[in-house]
Amino acid sequence: MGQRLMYEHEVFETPLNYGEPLYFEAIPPGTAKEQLLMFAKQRKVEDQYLEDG
Amino acid sequence: MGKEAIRKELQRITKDEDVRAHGARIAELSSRIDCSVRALPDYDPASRENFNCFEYALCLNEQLRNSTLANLGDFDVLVDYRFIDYLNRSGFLHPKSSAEMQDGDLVIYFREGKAQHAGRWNDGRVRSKWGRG
Repeated sequence: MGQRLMYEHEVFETPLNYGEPLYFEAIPPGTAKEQLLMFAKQRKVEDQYLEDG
Repeated sequence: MGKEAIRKELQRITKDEDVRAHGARIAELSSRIDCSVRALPDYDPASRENFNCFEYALCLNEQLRNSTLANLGDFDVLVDYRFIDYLNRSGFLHPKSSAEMQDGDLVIYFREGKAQHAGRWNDGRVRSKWGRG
């Protein structure tokens, strides 16, 4: 827990082992969540574990 | 100091498992060389929320409870290079040029074809979460 820090930086200012940057459009709100839940279902996670309540 | 040398320094600092020291060491690096990385003051490093760089970049930490993300992790459904690959194969990653970037867009760092890190574009710079955990 709490083992990370948030940074603001230039694109190249990351550790070398992170690799090279590519640029993408933002994914609309809700879509990433929806896709993660679909990804989980494909990996046989049961619905009861996907309820976000 | 050139870009690669700065990146090597950042790699050396972040390899240290004592994450609590990273912020101070990066601040020291920034004062010593031409490096503008700064820790964001609006994030509490003692936060019990345990989201990773991809979850942050995709705003999943805002859209799903931390417990749900933890549940998925228990099933080895991790928001890591595999989920980025899934998004790409599913047609949800639309490349653009750096000149076209707008606030909120994604910067994803790849090494040998695998996504290693991600951040959000903000006013010409990147906000991202580093470290382990």
